[in-house]
Amino acid sequence: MKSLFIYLFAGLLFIQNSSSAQVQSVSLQAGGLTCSMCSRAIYKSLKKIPEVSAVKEDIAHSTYHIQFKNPDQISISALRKAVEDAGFSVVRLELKTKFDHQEVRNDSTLRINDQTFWFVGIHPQSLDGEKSLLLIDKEFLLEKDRKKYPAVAAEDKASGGDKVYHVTLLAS
Amino acid sequence: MRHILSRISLTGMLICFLSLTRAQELFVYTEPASNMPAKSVGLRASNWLMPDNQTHTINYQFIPEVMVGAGRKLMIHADGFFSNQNGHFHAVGGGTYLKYRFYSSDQVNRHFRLAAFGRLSLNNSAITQEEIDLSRFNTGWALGIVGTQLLHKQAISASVSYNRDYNNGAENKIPPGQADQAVNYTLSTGRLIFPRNYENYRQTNLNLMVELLGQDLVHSGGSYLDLASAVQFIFNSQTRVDIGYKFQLYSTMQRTTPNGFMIRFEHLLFNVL
Repeated sequence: MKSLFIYLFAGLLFIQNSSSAQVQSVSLQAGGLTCSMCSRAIYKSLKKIPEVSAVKEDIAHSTYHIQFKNPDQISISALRKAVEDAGFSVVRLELKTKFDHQEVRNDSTLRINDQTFWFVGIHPQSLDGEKSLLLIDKEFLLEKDRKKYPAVAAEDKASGGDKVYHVTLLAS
Repeated sequence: MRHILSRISLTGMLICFLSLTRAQELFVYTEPASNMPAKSVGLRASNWLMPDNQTHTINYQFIPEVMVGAGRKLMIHADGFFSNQNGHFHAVGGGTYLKYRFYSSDQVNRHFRLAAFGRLSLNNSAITQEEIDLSRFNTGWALGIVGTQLLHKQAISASVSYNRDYNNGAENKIPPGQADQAVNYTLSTGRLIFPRNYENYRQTNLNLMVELLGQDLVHSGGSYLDLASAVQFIFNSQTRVDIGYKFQLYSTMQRTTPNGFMIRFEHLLFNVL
């Protein structure tokens, strides 16, 4: 009987530990342009990031679907810098993220791909499968769209002093 | 008064044109407030073919130019001036142009931007006109500001600059009594003709540009206003060919080459620095 409890406990631990979340790809919309020469400048700038494996452009909507060589090495700040170096701004950034039994709740943080994400505007739930996370920090979302979500503090930091990205869950 | 009225009516016509068009901001005779991408280099060759109304010959000027995106807000141009003035084709000078974008508000398919720009030019051409042109004929400097508004494929750009010119070397002095300061102002728009829908970067773009280019000489009171129109092709979202024609709408100053063609080739090298 005692050993049964041990196995059950170990099993529960295993379930606990098996929860995971990993960003698979990024969908980024740039603002401030219409011409294809401008769009190509952003495309070239994104392609130059060493961790990026492929960029699929949607010129009409100024949107770029970005794949990575190694999903563990996704740098959101590098994506933003690439767009700004091309002379434009990020106006929307969605993270296509794969979850496996991942518990999330409002105003809690989660480490995904070695970056800290602070969830806002959600109810407690367990996430499974691919979900889209929307960055709602002002550097990544238009002001008019940000107003739809709770205000977030730019100075929020993770425990190690790292930057925190505020995200909400988009309806799938 | 007649000139002021003609300016107002032309500005009105241009604004009407703007309201009907899908514009682009890669203007031919002026620079927009936007910069080229950081760490990129642009190579430009401009060919000016302008009948000279004093010598009754075709004044040909070749201006090679290197453009560098020094940072996301700063771009630098360096250009050389070559001319067939005096009957033989030769180098007459060179210059540099800087533009710093100091305000930017970006939205989806729209932006408003402001930039400050400056030019420094050296030129040893003979001074044969009252017009001050630091991009082709005169030694001097200019400082200006440009604002560009892009609204859902409709763009308008306006600039104003102060220009100060000096003797073109010891042998080509500004004639006594001739103005050495001017205020330039521009108003530009462009129209995307093709493609109707962007699908890929290999589609050839065809744009039509219309620009008003004016100058007022400080103190002497002379002024002119030109209308410049251009057809622009963009190949592979990387190479530009502009064919423009500029003509004088009015002038109260002496000018030698107010009308004529400009043909320009430009190629952008992304991320080479």
